Amino acid sequence: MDKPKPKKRPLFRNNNMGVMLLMSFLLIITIMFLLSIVLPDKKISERENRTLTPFPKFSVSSYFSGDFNRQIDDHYSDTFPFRDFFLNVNDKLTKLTSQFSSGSDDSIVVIQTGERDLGGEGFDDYEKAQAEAEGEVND
Amino acid sequence: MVFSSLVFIYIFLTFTFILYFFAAKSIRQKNAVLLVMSLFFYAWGEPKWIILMLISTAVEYYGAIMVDEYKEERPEIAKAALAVSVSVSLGFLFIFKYFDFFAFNFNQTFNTNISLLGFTLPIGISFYTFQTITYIVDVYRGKAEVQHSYPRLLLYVSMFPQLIAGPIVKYVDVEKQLTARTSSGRKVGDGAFRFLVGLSKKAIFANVAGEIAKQFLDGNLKELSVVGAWMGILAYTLQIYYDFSAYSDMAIGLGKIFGFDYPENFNYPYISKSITEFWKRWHISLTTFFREYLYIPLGGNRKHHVINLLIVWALTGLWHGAAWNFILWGLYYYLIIVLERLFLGNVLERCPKVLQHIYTMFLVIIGWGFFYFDDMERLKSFFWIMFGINGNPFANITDKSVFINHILFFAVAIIAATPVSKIIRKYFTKLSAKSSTMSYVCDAALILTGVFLLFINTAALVGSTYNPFLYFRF
Repeated sequence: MDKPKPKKRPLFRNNNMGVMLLMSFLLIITIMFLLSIVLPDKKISERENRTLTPFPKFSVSSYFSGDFNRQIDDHYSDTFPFRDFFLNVNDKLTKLTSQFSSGSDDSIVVIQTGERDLGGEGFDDYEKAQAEAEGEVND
Repeated sequence: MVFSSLVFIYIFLTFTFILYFFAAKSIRQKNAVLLVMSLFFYAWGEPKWIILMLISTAVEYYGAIMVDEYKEERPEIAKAALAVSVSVSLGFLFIFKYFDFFAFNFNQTFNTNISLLGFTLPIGISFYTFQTITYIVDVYRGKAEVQHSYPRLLLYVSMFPQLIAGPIVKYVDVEKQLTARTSSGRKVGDGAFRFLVGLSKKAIFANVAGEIAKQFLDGNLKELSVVGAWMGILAYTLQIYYDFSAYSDMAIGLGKIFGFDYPENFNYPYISKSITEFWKRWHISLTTFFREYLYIPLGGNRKHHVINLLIVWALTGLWHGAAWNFILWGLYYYLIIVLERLFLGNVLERCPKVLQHIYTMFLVIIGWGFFYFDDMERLKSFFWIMFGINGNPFANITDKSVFINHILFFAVAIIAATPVSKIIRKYFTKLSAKSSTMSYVCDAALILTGVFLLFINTAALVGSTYNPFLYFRF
């Protein structure tokens, strides 16, 4: 038979503190869940200049195709409590880790980094990069 | 539903935790909560083919009862019941995952006209099929008791933490925990912490690496430079590790919260000193499955082991997807592992350690190239570019800016993939053991870290547009 594996010792040393982490987790998600019900849903995001995903209408066909559930996912993240605040936090976070991974702002960042890297690269590459970047913006 | 979605964390988990910890009193009620929530979880992403999972489990359920009934007196009937049930499960897997691939290639080769089925792959089918197989085979082998409750067997198969992307939990691993499990505050806290660490690996590391990889590897390959090709595949190397091990972390963490002990799935694979070692550290639950339920029954090392290895590796490749690149990827590892067994392993051992690491990572990175491109033409051009064969430029301006922007990310991501966390863990537990006061200080630090991780991951998820799980395809 299988021999018992040596178990990793838990990180927590006190049972009540371990429970406290789960309870803090649960408290936070419960409060956010309740807030998402109580707070009125926004229809438009001024910050991103777009309409937010509305709550889907249920139909048997949309349920079985999975569209219904997918739209609920989108609706929920679009109307998440304090969404703009979290978006700001995320922007700061992405600036910290990288400038390419923020999704929608990519092409603009290319220009900035191009300028910074200009050094000995010559203008041909820079202009090309800029042209490409602008092309993306126009799309 | 994916773990790294707001709906999962903020709605699904809220209900599950409250029902599990506050409403359900007995283990029966707790199991009922887990089963109902797991089926809801699965149906959310797979509303139609949930029926397949129910049937597949039912087949193994009745099959195992027959196996158990006839094992002693009429072993041939038990064997037949085993063969039939396993074939039915594998048959489902074949029809839904592989039929179109084989039919298409058959049509191409022999100019026939077999019509394709056009099914989309039911989520998690590759994982739960293997799980149900471990159950009936272990009943046949006398390692596991037969399960007389269908809901309980279904709970084993459908437990939402491990249902859709592993680890592949053997039935014997959780057999006892299905009816009685001990939980403690420490275990629950560790589970929650592990889940949050996994979430960060996914929402921060894997997603950033994924963005970089996509940028290089998904574009026009004619414009990709040699440096760009290497950076792209290196980013993908990081992405696939963080993505998949994050999922395992979250699964193991959630399992702990509910009192289950799931097997570890990763053990710092990128510090391996040979490919043989790499496969002992990468996706451990899959290699364990293939070893115990295929390789050893085939004869293992004792007879024609080169052929046994070939079968195992071809199927390992194919398990990852019904496409030629996955078969190539499997055979590529077969070849290396056979060479390592023949002589390369011995040669390697005499080399300096640095060389052993370079050798392993070089081959692993090349391997991810096979894994990434399911289009053979693109796969070929990509490798040509990597080795500067088709005259693409060595580097261009984008490479440089991406590199400079992400140098910190790459450094942190590479270091965090090494056992550095193990060392920190060791010092942390030592510190925590010093005195009672110290243990409370350390535990409080864990709680604060956990809450902080939840906060930044929520921000990352609210802001993320790109957030797939790679192992969903399998």
